[in-house]
Amino acid sequence: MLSYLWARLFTLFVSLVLSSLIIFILIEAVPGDPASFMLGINATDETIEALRKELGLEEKILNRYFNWLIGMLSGDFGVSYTYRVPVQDLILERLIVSLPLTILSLTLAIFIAFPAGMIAAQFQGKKIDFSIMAASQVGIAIPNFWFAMILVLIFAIHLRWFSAGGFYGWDSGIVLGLKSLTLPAISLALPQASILSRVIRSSILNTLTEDYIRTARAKGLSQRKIISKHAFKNALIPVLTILGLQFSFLLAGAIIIENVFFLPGLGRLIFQAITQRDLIVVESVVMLLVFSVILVNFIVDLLYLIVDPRLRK
Amino acid sequence: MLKKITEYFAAVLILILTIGTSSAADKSITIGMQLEPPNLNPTGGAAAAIDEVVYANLFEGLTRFKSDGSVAPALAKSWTISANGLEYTFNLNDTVTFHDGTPMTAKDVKFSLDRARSEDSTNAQKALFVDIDTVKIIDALTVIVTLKAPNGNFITNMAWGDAIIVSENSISSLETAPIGTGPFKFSKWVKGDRVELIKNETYWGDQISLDRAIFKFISDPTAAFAAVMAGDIDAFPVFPAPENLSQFASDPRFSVIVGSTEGETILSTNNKQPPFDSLTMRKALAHAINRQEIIDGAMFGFGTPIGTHFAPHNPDYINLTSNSEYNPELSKQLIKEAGYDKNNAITLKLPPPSYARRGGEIVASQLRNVGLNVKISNLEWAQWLEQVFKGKDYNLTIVSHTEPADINIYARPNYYFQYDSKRFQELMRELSETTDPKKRSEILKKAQTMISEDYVNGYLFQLAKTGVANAKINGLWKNSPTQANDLTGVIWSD
Amino acid sequence: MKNISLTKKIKQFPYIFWFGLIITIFIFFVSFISIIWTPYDITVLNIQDKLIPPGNTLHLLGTDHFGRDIASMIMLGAKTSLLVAFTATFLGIVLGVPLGLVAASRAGDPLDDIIMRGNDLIFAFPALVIAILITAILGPSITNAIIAIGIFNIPVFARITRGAALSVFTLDFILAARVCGKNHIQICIEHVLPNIMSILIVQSTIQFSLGILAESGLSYVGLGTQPPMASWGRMLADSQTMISFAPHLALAPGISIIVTVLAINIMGDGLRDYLDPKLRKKSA
Repeated sequence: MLSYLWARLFTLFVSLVLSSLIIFILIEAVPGDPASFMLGINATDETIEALRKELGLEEKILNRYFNWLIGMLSGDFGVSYTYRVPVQDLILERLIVSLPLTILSLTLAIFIAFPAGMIAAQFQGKKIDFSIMAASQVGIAIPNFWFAMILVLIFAIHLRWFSAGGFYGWDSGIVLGLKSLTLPAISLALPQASILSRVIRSSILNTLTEDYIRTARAKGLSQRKIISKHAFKNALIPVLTILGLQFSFLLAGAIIIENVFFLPGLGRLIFQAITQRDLIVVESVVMLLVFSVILVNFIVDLLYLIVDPRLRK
Repeated sequence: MLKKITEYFAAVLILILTIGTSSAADKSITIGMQLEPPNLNPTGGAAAAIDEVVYANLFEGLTRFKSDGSVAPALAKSWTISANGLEYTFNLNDTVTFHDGTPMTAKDVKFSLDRARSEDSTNAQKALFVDIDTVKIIDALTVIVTLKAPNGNFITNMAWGDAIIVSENSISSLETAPIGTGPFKFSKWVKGDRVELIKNETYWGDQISLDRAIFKFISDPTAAFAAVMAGDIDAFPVFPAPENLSQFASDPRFSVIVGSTEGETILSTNNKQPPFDSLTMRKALAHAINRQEIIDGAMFGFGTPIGTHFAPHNPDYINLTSNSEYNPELSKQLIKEAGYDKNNAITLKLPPPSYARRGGEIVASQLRNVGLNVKISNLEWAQWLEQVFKGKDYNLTIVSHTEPADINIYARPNYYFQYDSKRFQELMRELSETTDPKKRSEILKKAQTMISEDYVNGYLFQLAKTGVANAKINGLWKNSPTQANDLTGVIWSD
Repeated sequence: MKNISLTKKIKQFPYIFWFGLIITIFIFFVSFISIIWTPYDITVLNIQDKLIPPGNTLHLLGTDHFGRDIASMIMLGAKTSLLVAFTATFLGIVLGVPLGLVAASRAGDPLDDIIMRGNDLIFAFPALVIAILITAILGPSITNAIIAIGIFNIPVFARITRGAALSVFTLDFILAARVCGKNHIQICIEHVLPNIMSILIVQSTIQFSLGILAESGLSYVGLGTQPPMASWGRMLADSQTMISFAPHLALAPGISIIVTVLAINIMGDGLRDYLDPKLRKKSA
């Protein structure tokens, strides 16, 4: 057990170092100079050089890599080239939009998917099962940005119930804040709910074949009670794994949706930073995302170890 | 079970729908802009969005542009120029204070000008200051600027956003919490969303009517459309999608403002790379282009055809569009004459703005029509700067040159279109040494004709400033002599 | 084997499978046609015919802001989508399957560990961000869209191959083959691969439909094919500002994407049910 833990910790460490290298190399390979981008087409060469020096771009490549790495370890992510503020401040500013958006859309997805998946499982093979599964297939097939466009057309342009986008900031009140996240959350939730309902359905059906369910059935429990009392709990494990994946996907994967609704979230921060060649921001945000996924994987592995004693060889 | 589900959805829906709205107070204005400024320091970057927030609102220079493009006194209430044209004596207004309460004096003027032209300056328009030899403080309200050589444009140069006056002790916060002398003070910046300015109660000049100004950044044209329609935005001075303007125009709540800009939109041509190193080929290019079709297709009719690199609203402009009339037959003939090989693909590299992307598709179709083999490649700005502007690795590109009176770029042989004409360079030298307005006008006309007849670039159209605003707003700039959203004259009518 | 008649075999597939298959074949057919013929040449712009609404006798689905025929663009867009998704899936199979086989045949070795941890690492990267970076480095083009999508198909196929192959490796006949002196590569090709084929085919349909969605997303943000080549995603991006007065511009490509993805997914589901009798009972 302990040796497994050490081995796992070692791979965690190697993965982190490797990913930091991959990210740094990828971003170094991106052509385009942040200083010339900032100064535009009338700038003199000498001005560009002065700015490059000021931004620390004239330093040796190896130095920059280690400065970045050491800085991150001590919680200092560097200073954004274009915004001229510490990167960690930028990230925090964006997280207060991205995090609620992610949570809201996942909650929405859960609220739709659980009842849908459970009903489909309960009425397996019946018309209602077929309809729910058909609906989920459609939900998966709809590109979420297209769905977002349609939502904007209907609810923002025609009905004017919502503004077409933007974020008022939480200081303008929680109601306004939530309101500006509603349409984006719905468009993000649709495909996630569809996937999730399918997973829930098949995972319940899987547990239904287990012995203890047969016992419960033999005891005379109704199908509905079996599902809600017994099968459900055991079906939860694969569902939670999918939820974890969806969470980290949504945190950065909302780039397109954040662009459609011009939300100042993490996804748009990366997108803008890439086009503005604010490389230090791109590096740090991508590293943070990769780190969080690797860490979540690690924790999930440990949890499995605790839950399932067979794995502790 | 089904009933439960419907109840459940109804509950969620009601929750969503009952989330109410509230609207802001009246004496404020929300201005929409497509791009967010990277920071708010106009002396350290070229992003037009910086000036579009701070110019005249937050920062002021010695002089300033007015809406008609003329130059007026600002922090300097008057100035005298010595007979040899080298010594400029500026008399400063005496009640000016920075937003932090410190008075603005000659010391700050010297500091700002010296900083802009210093060796480690990161000013994007450093060329504005190169002629300055010394800046001398006479007393708290008098400064003498001595030039190395006479410069007829110096007073205009001092009106640029890059030449604003800053205070030495606010330098460190210029990017994020700027301190200026203008009628608005910086209030807050919600990054990715908006910048808020509030009224400066101790402003030295005429009091403004607004209490608050909010600049909201909406890059997506659909969202911009919806935001204006919903009333979230009071004015969008440069609306990103001209196709939506007719809808605004037919709605009495809005007024559509169409003005001119300094943006000559040109099909820039690499004069040193085959096949367009040949004059015949460039001439063929010019005759292959149907300007009206580009203006209709890319800009939905907004824009003025141009035949040279000069703004049509400028009094010195001459209409040279006849030099490059749409004539595909002539174009085909010229291409044959030049011996163009169809296997040589011509690269058309397009930066992000929609005038370039859409215009590029139309240009490509028109060029294919005369038998040129055109390949489009869409680039981000950073890639465009690297490959096209710096690397000169392109045949054609489309870009709008928004700097005012910038025909002198044709005198730089290393500029990205690589036009190297000794005659033109001589002409520009003559221009800079001439002060007589009549003679200057003559030279400028000659210059326009020269580049038009050399077919340096394909001249497409002058970019229009197409904006939309709440019909009750008065006092916004119609034209765009410089990139700015000057709100000092804005009032709401009832 | 000969006893099973074709009709019986066909009956074993759910109806829904045939439904998906027919639509998929139709879409493939249309995109092949578009190589030699489309109603209009979309490289020629006719600005004077712009924004004709659908239902027109000359332009069935109307025209866009450049006066191009939407129906022709949809046909050519189908070609782009299928080409990108197919090649990206192929890339994933060609590189992912051998990796998975190597990992399975070396199960427990450090090599297996390295391959699988490498997979985890790729999964940890945000796909769209990497795609944007790749196109920022290499420039936007159809090839680079394929690379950006294909890279993330590799670990998918590697993982599923490894999992399936592991269970095959424990079977007796593999042992027998090993005793006969066959080496790892021979065993993998001759015995393991045929036995995991069905799983790979089903996974391919999934990755294929995901590839179509991914291509539309990349083109939507401007990273896929370049004009004048048509792409559904770019048609959506171009139509966005005109959605309030010309919704047909957004509906045509949007519905095309949905129908294509749906058809392939339904076909894949049916295929999985047929190939995996254990699952047949459970899914609708």
